[in-house]
Amino acid sequence: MKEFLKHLTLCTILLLVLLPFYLMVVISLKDNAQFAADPYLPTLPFHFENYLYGWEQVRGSILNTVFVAVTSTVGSLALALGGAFFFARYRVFGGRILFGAFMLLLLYPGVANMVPTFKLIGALGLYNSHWSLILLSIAGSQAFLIYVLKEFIAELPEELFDAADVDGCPVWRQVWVIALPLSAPILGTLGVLHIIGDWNNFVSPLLMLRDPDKQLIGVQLLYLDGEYCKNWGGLMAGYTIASLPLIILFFFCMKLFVRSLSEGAVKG
Amino acid sequence: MPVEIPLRKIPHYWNVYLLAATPLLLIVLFNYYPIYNGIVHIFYRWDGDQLEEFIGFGNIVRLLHDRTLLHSFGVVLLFVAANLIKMIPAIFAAVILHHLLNRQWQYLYRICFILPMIVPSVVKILLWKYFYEPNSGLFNAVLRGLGAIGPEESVAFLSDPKLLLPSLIFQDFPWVGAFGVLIYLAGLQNISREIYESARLDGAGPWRIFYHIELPLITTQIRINFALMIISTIRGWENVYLFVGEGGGPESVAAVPGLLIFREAFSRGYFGYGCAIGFVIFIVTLLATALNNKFVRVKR
Repeated sequence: MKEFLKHLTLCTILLLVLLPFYLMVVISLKDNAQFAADPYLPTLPFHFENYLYGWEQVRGSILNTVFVAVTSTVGSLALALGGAFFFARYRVFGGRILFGAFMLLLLYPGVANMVPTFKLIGALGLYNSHWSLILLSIAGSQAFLIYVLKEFIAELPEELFDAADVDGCPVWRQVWVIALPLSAPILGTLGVLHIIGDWNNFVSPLLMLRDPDKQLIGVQLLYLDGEYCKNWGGLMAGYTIASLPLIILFFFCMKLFVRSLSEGAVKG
Repeated sequence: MPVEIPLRKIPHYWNVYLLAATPLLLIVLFNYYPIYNGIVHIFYRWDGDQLEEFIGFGNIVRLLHDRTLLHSFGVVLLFVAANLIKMIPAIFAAVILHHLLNRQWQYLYRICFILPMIVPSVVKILLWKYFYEPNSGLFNAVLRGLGAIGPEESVAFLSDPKLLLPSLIFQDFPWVGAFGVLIYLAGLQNISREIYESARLDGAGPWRIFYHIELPLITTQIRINFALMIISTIRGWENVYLFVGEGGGPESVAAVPGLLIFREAFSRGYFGYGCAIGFVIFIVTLLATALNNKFVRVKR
């Protein structure tokens, strides 16, 4: 009986949490007349052509977002792994100061840097290019990634690296052949978090891109929402399509997601 | 033990340095240089283009007289207070989830809680924007259905200056962010069985166990979440922008500091002043972090 009460409470909470997404899917199958008559329950006939319309609207931006998110995630992890290896394994003159220079950035809010960053991107000729977003995303995530990865690499058995040194294995190969496979679990976790972050990034594309056909998914959805005469079904279909890639990714590596999102706690 | 590289041998180890040099180059170029450039331009009238004129403390004087800016930090304070209350449901959800006897059910619920977190935040906000919509929005339909307003009337949640802030705060009801739930759950699962057993032997009921055992043992997690919440509330402006655009709603009631930077710099062309507001946000973040470390210290 007590179990029943717990399930009841949790289900009520979940119903409320999932209600927006339920409505999103229900409305995505209606035309405007059905929407006006009853937006809450599914009504026949289903208008699957809304999804064609929605896909037309978001296709380009989804492909752009996938490109930016994947490139910047791979780049961030690769660079941060090298940096973390350096800070975990070597003690050099000025090393602590360098490490401090990375950690200090954790304190500086990106929003405070918005204006000068925009000018810098312009000066580098990267305005309206996806590379501006990729480079900003990589640079912006280095501090946190190096902080986490350094702790992790420092725990790896150092005999492995000592032996590699004796055998004359160059440092970059040590990172690639030894450190990379051993840190695969934590890299997976960090990669998932990074992709979610990039998928949700909204400010940089808003500032750094001008052409609508280069735009990423977040800003594109805002444009769609701003249209005066709304095709509600098509709009909601667009929202659904925009949510699908991460959800598909989620079902493929559910364990990784659950771990990624719970792990922060264990570390704390 | 890490490998020591003595000073005179550094040239020999140049390839080791390359590992740190690449990320370092990126943060110097894309983080440190803009910080420096931003601080310099606090003292300039700058339109982001040709005009770049030294005006000394002009922007700072303007900061001190800017009532909108003062108001924006008031809004931040209100949001922090509201977000503090909005932290509570996640704690309760985690405790109930923790007490489920059946592990499989627990895993299933966990996945259901994660799902909304995977949906892009822009989609979530735009869906809530639709809920608040005056004509076909969910809340107006419910109010009409209950007879609270006439069939032709509507409540303008997002364009009434009195309703905008409450609407923004209510957003995302029932406020069980999955991140919080998962963090608390992980904390609760670290509590050992013996503690529960001895508490039950002493005759403690579920409420007393919650209040005297579970709550104290997840304070670390609550404090971490609290600190993260404050910092992100000070920095955040995307939500407000998505709901009401760069104007910050009627009479700018919901204009938060980040939104003001965006408006001043990118719509009105006061880049120097935008930099100045940015610096104020940085100082406030530092103060909040310092206060946090002092008063809500995370015990290790």
